[in-house]
Amino acid sequence: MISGILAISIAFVAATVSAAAYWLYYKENDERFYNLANRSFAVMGVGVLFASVLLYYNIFAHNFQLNYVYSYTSLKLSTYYLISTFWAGQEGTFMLWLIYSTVFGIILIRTLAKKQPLVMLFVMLVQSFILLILLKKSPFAMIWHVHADAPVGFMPPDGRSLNPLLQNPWMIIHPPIMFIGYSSTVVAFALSLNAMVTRNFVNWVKQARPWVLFTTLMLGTGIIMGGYWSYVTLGWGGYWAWDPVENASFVPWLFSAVLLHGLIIQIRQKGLVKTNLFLAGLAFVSVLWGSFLTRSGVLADFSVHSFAESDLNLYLIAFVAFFAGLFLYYYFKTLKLMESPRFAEGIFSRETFVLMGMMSLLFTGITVFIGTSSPIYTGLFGKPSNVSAGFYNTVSIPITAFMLFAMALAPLLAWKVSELRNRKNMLISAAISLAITVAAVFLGLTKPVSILLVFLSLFVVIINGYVAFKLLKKTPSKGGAYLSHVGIALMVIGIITSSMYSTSEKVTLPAGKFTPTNFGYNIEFTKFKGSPDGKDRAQLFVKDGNKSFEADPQFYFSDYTQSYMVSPHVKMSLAKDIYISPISFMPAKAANTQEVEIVKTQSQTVDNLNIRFNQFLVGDHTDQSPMTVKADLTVSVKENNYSKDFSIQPAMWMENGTLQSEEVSVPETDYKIRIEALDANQGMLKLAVLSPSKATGQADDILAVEVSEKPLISILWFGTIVMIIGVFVTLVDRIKIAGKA
Amino acid sequence: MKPKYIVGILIIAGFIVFAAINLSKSLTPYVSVDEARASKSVVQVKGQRVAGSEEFDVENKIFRFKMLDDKGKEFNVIYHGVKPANLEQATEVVVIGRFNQDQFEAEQLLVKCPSKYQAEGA
Repeated sequence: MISGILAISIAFVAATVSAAAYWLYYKENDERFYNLANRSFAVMGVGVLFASVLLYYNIFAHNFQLNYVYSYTSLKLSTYYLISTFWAGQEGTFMLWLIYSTVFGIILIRTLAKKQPLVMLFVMLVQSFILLILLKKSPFAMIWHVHADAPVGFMPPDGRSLNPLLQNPWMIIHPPIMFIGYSSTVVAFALSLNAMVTRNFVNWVKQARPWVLFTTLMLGTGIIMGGYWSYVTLGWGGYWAWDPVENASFVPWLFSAVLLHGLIIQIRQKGLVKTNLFLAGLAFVSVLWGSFLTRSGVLADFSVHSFAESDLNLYLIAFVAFFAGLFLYYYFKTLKLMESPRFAEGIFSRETFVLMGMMSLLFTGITVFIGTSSPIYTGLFGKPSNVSAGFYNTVSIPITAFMLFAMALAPLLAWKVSELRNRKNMLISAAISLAITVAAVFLGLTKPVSILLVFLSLFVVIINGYVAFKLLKKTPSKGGAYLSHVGIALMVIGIITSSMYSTSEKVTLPAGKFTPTNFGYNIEFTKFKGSPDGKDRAQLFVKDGNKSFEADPQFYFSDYTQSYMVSPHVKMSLAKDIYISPISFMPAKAANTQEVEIVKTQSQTVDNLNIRFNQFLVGDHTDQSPMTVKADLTVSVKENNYSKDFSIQPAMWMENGTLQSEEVSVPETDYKIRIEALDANQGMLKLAVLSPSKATGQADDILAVEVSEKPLISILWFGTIVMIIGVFVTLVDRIKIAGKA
Repeated sequence: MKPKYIVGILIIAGFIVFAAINLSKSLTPYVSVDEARASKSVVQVKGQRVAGSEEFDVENKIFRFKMLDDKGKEFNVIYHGVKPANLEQATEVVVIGRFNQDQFEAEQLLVKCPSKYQAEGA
């Protein structure tokens, strides 16, 4: 679609002109360059807006000539899902990225671009790169540009539709929030670069703070939504799998959170100048790196996600390398000029403990980064290997303990002095936490690691909760910070109880019968119930003593994915979730043996087998018994208009005065063939053909499900809400303060 | 040097060693059947299932089938679990586990489908 490609081309040119003009304005200090830069920015913005509207117009007009519209939408998608198809594919998510950074650009122009034009220069450089990628992989490519066999002007009657997994309310809102988070990391990055080029290493910190808070809030919210979606729809039983796609979102969040705390130290203590500048670069580059890992297809072999093979590799690597190189160039060029005063004299000072918290987040980030990238560097020296989820889980345990320890004591410590002021509060909190932990041990909290982490988490919850409660009214920005720590600690408790103490059982349920489980309740599978959207549900009846409930997990064949799709039934309650997820369905197969008589050199058909009887083979010397007779058969297995021939030779022999025969499998099928009787003189053969059912012998339909119990997972979700509210309150207050200043 | 820094450095060094050991332990390479047979540690083998070789013991929930690795070598797989729904549709099967006598005992059985869903990440 030429108008769309044109709009993106114009936006690309305008973005580069704008970047150059901001540079010239910085160099020459000539107002005309500044005006040119802003006008070019406006042209770029209009181009992006036009392209976005055009894409939406084509989505809603069902113009399947556009490859993007054909690939992700269909006539029967509802309006909400049509809205979400905008970001269903890579091109669309880049468009989303462009829209957000345009909005950020507008805010920066209105607040600081006049005095710090270089900030906009860097934002526009990133923008140019994304536009360039969209010129290479255009959302406006016609279907015949992408599919060689489609004739020019071809209009498919319907689109391929949206993946059914993405047809979920959470998936309408999750990607746009993630991408606000990703794209917003550019602001702190641009501010830090500007700080280095202009050699003013101090002022950027206060400007960056609300932006970093915003990034942390958005990435955090997006990640949690993705986890919740995974839990309630994917049916594998968890909310976090350490999958590359998840890790690629987690790492920037961690680095942003580290930066957020580093900025606080710099504002308070003037220290960490070098660290903060570096972290701002690290957070942004980790977003680009994540983009490369998850979009280029390099990890395709290492993820349960299927990655679309992409021709963008070179562009994405250039994207990462260019900005990482640019950043490192300025960083090392100005490193010697950065004066970072020493601070944090004693051990028991606030800054030491904030630093400890930063370290734990930073190490988590680096560890996840190294683990996720493992197929790349192991591939350089040998066979590409990935790390298992167990690695991340094991490594996070000591880091989490360390982090909780830091979060628990930090509120009790004062800045600049090394002393424990609130000894009384500390002892009271420790006593309460200990009492609850002991009670929990009696209730079944038995694993040592979990006891330690739960104790520390409770400590964090009580201390930070107390301080947050006192501060929230007076200074919401500080109260919110403590509140977010309460949320994190609650999340840790919920994660521990719901993962380390989760129990599960795989049960096979013959239809119409109650089958007992180890959990004490009986489950009956009654039938499948069709659904207008094609997402059939299995009807289950769960009986637990006097109580009972009905469950209807989804289990259906999707034409889109050409595979069975599963979605669990989650029976939620405060104490525990009961999670029922179908695994597979085995329809009943009556055990049957069909008998056929075949005359020599003729053939007979059974089901999809065509059996031809060629001849008898007698006295084969490889057999010990001279009484063995073999029948030489050619079996044609017919499957989808295509048949395959196999030669098999079932035998019959005399043993202890009776006739014996063996079953011979027909290759690539579940059929088996046995000689029932033979008449060598007449050239007659009687065969028993055993259908697949004989092997598994199954009278009823069987649904296999996995049932699991997740204790106290409600605490995890409650914690996420507390954390999000905490960061949100802080952000709103910070923006208010920045507005007054 | 102040004791604070020494403690800090020790903690960091300890953690790095801990992480590095765990990293090297958990790296599971894709190998061929022959390499898997020779290996004593957990490996992953990628390949195709042999159609019609599946046997599922409903009572004990043991699933057996045959696989061909990327080099076309056949081997037996035993998986203590239920046959995954999408085995027939799978473009590729990945088993993670180790060889025990003449069969591959899979701790995990992953089935890769034509398009599970497109990556929605950054």
